[in-house]
Order: sequence, then structure tokens, then C-alpha cells
Amino acid sequence: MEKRIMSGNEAIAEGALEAGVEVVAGYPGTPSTEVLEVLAERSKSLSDGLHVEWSVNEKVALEIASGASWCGKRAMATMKMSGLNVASDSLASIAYSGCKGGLVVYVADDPSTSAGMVQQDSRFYALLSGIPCFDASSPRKAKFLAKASFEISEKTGAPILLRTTTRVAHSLTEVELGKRSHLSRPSEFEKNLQKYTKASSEWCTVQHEQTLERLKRAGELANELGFNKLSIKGKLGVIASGVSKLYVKELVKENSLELSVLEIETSNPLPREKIEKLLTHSNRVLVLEELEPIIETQVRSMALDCNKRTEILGKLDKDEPRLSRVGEYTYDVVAVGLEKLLGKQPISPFKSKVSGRAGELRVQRPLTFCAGCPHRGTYLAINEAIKKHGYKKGEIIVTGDIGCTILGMNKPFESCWTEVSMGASLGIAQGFRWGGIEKPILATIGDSTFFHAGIPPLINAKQHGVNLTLVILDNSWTAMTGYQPNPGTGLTATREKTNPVDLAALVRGCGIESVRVVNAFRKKEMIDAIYQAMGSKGISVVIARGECAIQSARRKKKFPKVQVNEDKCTGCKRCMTLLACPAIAFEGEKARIDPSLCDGCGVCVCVCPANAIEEVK
Amino acid sequence: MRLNLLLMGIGGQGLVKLSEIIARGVAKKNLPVWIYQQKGMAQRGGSVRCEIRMGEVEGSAIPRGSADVVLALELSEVLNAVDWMSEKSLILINTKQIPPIGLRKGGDGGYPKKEEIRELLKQAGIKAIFVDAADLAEKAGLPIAANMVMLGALAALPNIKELIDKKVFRAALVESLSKEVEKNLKAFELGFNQIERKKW
Ligand SMILES: Cc1ncc(C[n+]2csc(CCOP(=O)(O)OP(=O)(O)O)c2C)c(N)n1
Ligand code: SF4
Ligand code: SF4
Repeated sequence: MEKRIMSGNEAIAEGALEAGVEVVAGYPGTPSTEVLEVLAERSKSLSDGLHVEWSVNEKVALEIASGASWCGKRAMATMKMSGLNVASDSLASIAYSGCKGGLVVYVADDPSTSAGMVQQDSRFYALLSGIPCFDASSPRKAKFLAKASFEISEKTGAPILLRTTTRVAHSLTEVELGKRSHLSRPSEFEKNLQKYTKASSEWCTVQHEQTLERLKRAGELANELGFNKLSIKGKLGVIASGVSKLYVKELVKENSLELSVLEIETSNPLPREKIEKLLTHSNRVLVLEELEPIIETQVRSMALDCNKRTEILGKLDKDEPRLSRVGEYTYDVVAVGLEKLLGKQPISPFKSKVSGRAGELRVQRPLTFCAGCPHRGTYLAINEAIKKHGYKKGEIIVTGDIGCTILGMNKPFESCWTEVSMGASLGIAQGFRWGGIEKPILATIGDSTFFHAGIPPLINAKQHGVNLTLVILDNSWTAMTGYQPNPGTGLTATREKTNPVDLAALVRGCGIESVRVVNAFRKKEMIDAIYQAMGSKGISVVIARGECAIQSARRKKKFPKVQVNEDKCTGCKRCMTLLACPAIAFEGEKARIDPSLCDGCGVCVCVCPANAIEEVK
Repeated sequence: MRLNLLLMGIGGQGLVKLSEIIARGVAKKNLPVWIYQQKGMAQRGGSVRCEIRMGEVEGSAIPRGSADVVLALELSEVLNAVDWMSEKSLILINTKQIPPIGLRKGGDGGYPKKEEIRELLKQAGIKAIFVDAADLAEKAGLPIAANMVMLGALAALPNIKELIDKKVFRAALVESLSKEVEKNLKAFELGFNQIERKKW
């Protein structure tokens, strides 16, 4: 069989193709993004009608996948953990209705916070909505589980939550490749109000019962298919899920340990019989799972039922060391757990001798906008407009939002004060107003984030006549997550042309009268627009337009280059301290622009008081 | 057999590409290989880390203190790897300095000196080799090929050479790159020769 080195995310895409998936919708978010990107790319060369789209947000993506499944297609929705929060309202309801074609919701958790946002445990959503949750530990397992999820979902009618973590999603190893199956099913949706609406308490009660029935059946099927492998050896046991399984395997081999091991794939529902078997055979059992003690709490309660003497170790131990609920489980965390289980210290003796001193020398790398980024000019203008109104730097609250736009909180701009969740810059800003802040308040948000979740809070501000300036940083792309198209881009996930949504018309359509559209690279116009917006009553919107520099560079859009005229440069360093463009460095007392990095956006030309930065003709 | 290789660098230095070429080389020798790519916010000046493991391993995570080789594409980034080092580790460091934006106001305001790093590792009994990869890449006619200079240097380390022949890495390089293959190969050779001449 052909093999290829691939990541967990690619493996999930391959598994879905082998299962015959026909509709895939998602919203980008690290570490989940590559699944949909791979499928979008592959769909171009498949002629069997695979539909892949970046939807406007995760809730819409899940609804699209569900609708397709209800017509009999195999369908998948993809998102990061924060996205599942957004989709959860529909998830709970769709879980009650169940599915027809296999329906898989792929979610990636980020316990090590590789990309900002909270260290949440998405398995709770499976418990909350009564759907099965399958956890992958490696790319190989991820592909197997993706494929099996569609089968089990379809056989039982239960939508399935397929979960990875960053470590699984972004690890690569060799995986065997299978074949794309093409199911070509007829599309049919039966009208069935008792199943597809929630209009009566009786229907909902029945749906609830059926949900639990499907969950149970899915658990049984998974075990029949060989999920949750148990091997009994000796009186000490380990229950491991996710990446911990791999570390246990390696440590057992390395140290020739005698242990019983239960590898959990179905974190909901747990394989009760196997757990009970392990408990009756063991004096002591260690539970290894990242984030919250979901398996552990259930195992502890099962232990009380079946064998009161078995001691359970994990995150809820009475005595130290307890395993942590914070961060990812590494090899070393698992080693500590095993040491406790074995009651000896043979496993992880290493303490780095250089650590302490190295810490002092270490260099912090605060993130900054790329050379040529349109957001640089926008935050410069926000700061200048605030100054022009007579306020000091740091006196005016600017609520920030998710994406590259939040880098405006870092040096040298230090404009943004808050970052909560998609669209929250606008809601929080209104709360500040009613909370009693009387000075001007600004909110910044990217275009994709605005489409995703910015419209309801904007309408709300309009309704309540809140005094507030919203700056939409419209770079045409969903940049932070790797430059996906959004409704304003004019492209789909498969790079087909589509009519872009007119952002300014959309904002006006929300009833906002004061709307200014400005070129983000024109410093003076930007300052004027924001200055005026801040001075007017009610809500004003400034749309700062300028394409993401990485994307415009890909199309080889050439800007004129700029360079420093050394005779004029006074060494005042304002270009450094105001802009921090990666292309500008100081050589001795003179600024120098690295031509290989400069994008020629021209923003620095306007900040140099000596006019020393000149365009190269 | 088991070998752990840790790559450190910052966005734009071609670390992810480098990890892919190495993995391709390992796979050509029919050795099991695992990679983890911690990309972070690479595009926006952040640090990047790749963990590569080969042989009898389960999973991509290198245990603390178990890196056989650490390869840093930027001088100060090697400091982020110390938890993975032990007396048995070999450290390959590109002397290239890329101070973060905040430290660029002329002078080196807080950026560690090469000698400080050398001393730090020496005191801990860790063997470090410094390579002027930027100069060698320039010599090869392709300044951005410093990552390939470092690949060449890596291929010349005794414990790597034992496992994977230089020819295999060359082939993996050729398969992975679409542009400037000749210059990249030259960069690779310059890096290789730099280490090959060393006495062990
Ligand atoms: C609910 C949710 N979904 C997805 C993400 C991942 N995410 C982080 S930044 C970002 C892109 C924001 O794009 P945009 O608002 O256009 O700003 P840009 O990065 O382009 O400046 C996304 C999708 C998230 N943090 N939360
Ligand atoms: S990726 Fe694009 S939007 Fe993000 S910082 Fe770079 S240029 Fe700006
Ligand atoms: S050096 Fe000036 S013109 Fe070039 S990218 Fe940076 S800010 Fe823009």
C-alpha cells in the first residue's frame, strides 16, 4: 500500500475522502485549518461533486454540513475549539435530531496554546449534547477514526465529534493511503416534524431519549470495531487517551515495564466494561488525559461501584504530585505519572543544567505586523487621531478583536486594551460606555471577524445610540489563520470567483449613516477620518482598506520601493519607534531599509520628519 | 536505534522546509520518522520549533534532555532549546543574528553575544559548533539558502552520517525544491565541508 508522510489534519482529510464525504464546511482556526485546505485543494481534481467551503462562521458551517447529512450525504464541519463554542447552539439541537448521512464535526483543541485563546476541553460538548466523541492520538489513528466516524455515525444516526489536539493535528508521520470512495447517493429529505423540529415538549423528550440511545449504540459499535484496546499485565494499570498513549507506549518499552493498558478512543461514551475489567484486575490505576478530568471522574465513580480497593491516580489525587489540568501533556508529564503509579523514580531524572542562566539571556520576540502590512498605518493613524483630540497615549480605550489586527496591542502602537472573542470588541466597547466611560471609545476589528460576528453588536449599538468609533481593518483576507478568502474577498475556498460582499454597503445597511472608506496606506486621510469619526455623535464606522501584504506579494503586486537618503537622515529613530517595520534597522546612527524585506507600502515615508525616506524611482 | 533532532529558528528562515527535507531523507532510508511543526506566528517574526524523531519512537515529542542534535538557524534561538539538551547533545548554531524589532534601535541592547552562548554551553559540558551559514550561503550565490548550509552541516555530523548518507539528503533536497536547485546544492556542500573538515 502507498504511504505518505502527512500531518494529523491531512490524515483526517484523507480519511474523510476514503469515507466518501461529499460536503465539507468550516471556518479557519489553528490548529484545525489544514483539514479543509487539503480538501479544497483535492476537490479541484475530483470530478465527483465534492463541495468544500469556508463558511462565514462555525455555526453556519455546522448547519450546512447537517443539512447535507439530512439529505443523505456524508458531511463534515471543521473548526478550532473556539469555533465549537460558536456552533454549540446548533450542535445541541442537531444532536437531538440526529443525522442521516454520516455527520462528523471535527474540532481541534489547543492545550499548549500554540495560537492564543483558551485551553478549553471540547469533550464537554459531547457530554453536553449527548453525542459520541472520538479522540485521535496520531495521524494514523486520525485517519482511521475519521473514516470509522462516518460509518458509525451513519449506522447509528449520531453526529460524531472527532477531536484532536495541536500535537496530533500538527505532527507528521507515515500514513497508508486508501482510495476515495464515491457514493453517489440520491438526495432525499423526508419531512418529519417530530424529528427535525423542537415544537413540542413531547417531541423533545422523545428526541432526548433517542439521542441517548444512539450514543449507547455508537459506543457498542466502536468497541465491535476494535476501538479502546485493553491489555492486561500485572496489578498496575493505565488508562490513557490522546497523545499520552504514545508516551506510555514508548516509556513502557524503554523501561521494560509490566503494566495493564487501556487505550481510550471513545471519550464519550467510555467503554465501561473494559474499564471495569481493568479495575478488577488492578490495585492501582493511573488515568492520563490532557486538560479536564473527564475520564478520571467517571473512572473514580466506576471504581466505587466495582472494586472499592483500587486506587485511582490522576488530576484529582489527594496528595502531590497531582497531574495538571493546565497545558499539554508531554513525555515528561506522563513520566511523572508513571513514577507515581510504580512508586519509584526510574524514569525521568533529567534536569537541564543550563536552564537558569539561559533564561536571562533569552530574547523575547513580540509579534509585529509584516513589512507592508496595512494595519501598521491604521494603528499609527488611530494613535495620531487620539493625540489630535488632545488625549495622551494610553488615555483612550481601544477594544481589540481576533486576528492580525490584535497585534496593535504590541509595541510600538500599544493601542488595543482588550481581546475576548470574535466580534467582542464591539460588545465590550458598548459595555464600557454604559459602565460610565465618558471619553471617546474605539473598537477595531478585521473584515473576516466582522462578517463572522460583528453585525449583531453593530446593530445593537445603532439601536441604543451608543457613541463609539468602529474601525474595520479590511485587508480582504482572513489573514492570521493563513490567508483564507472571506465573503469580502470575491473568492471561494476552491479559489473560484464569486461576487464579493460590499462591506461599506453592508454597514450602511445596518443603519449606520457615518461611514468612511479610506486607503489604509494614506496617513493623512486615515488620521482625518478617524479624528472626525471620534468627534461625531452616535456610532461611526471607518473602513480602513488595504490588502494583506503577504497576499498582494503573492500576486506580485509591485509597490515602488523606498530607501533612506543618508544625507537627510538625522538618526531621530522615529521610523523605528512609531512603526517597527521589520524592513527598517539602524546601522550606527542612520536608518537603513532592507530592500529584500521592504514591501514599498510607503507608510514610513510619511512618518519621517526629515523627509529622508524616499521612493526609488 | 533512536535519534532526536530539534530545529529552532524564526519565521521566514525556511525551518519548516528544512524539516520536510530531513524527513524525506529519513523516509528514504526506510526509518520510521515523526515531525512536529510548531509554527506559531512564524510570518510575524515569531519563533519556530520543529521536533524530528527517527527510529524506534512513538510520537513526535522529544523528551526533555534527549535531543541528540539541536540545530539553530539563528543565534539567540538556541537558548530556547536548552531544556532539551544534555552532555550527549551536539549543538549546531548558525551565527546569524536577527534581533527582535524592539532591540533594533542601534547597538545590541540586550541581544546575547556569541561568546556568552559559547561559554554557557561549555560550562554545562555541551558541545557546540558555530557555522557562519549566512556567509556560506552568500558564497553559494543564494543568501536565503542558509538553511541548506545548515542541512549540509547536519549531514556531516558523525551520528547523522552513520544513519543517512549525504547522497540521500542531496536527493531529498532536489525533490523538495523547485527553484535554484544548483545553488541550494552548492550551499549544502559548503555547509557539509565546513563540518567535515573538523576533527572529532
Ligand atoms: C470563534 C473563532 N473562530 C476562529 C478563530 C481563529 N481566528 C483567529 S484570527 C482569525 C482571522 C481573523 O481575520 P480578520 O478578522 O480578517 O483579521 P486579519 O487576521 O485578516 O487581520 C481567525 C479565524 C477564533 N479565534 N475564534
Ligand atoms: S499576514 Fe497580512 S494582515 Fe497579517 S500582519 Fe502580515 S501583512 Fe498584516
Ligand atoms: S520600510 Fe517603509 S515602505 Fe518598506 S514596508 Fe516598511 S514601512 Fe513600508
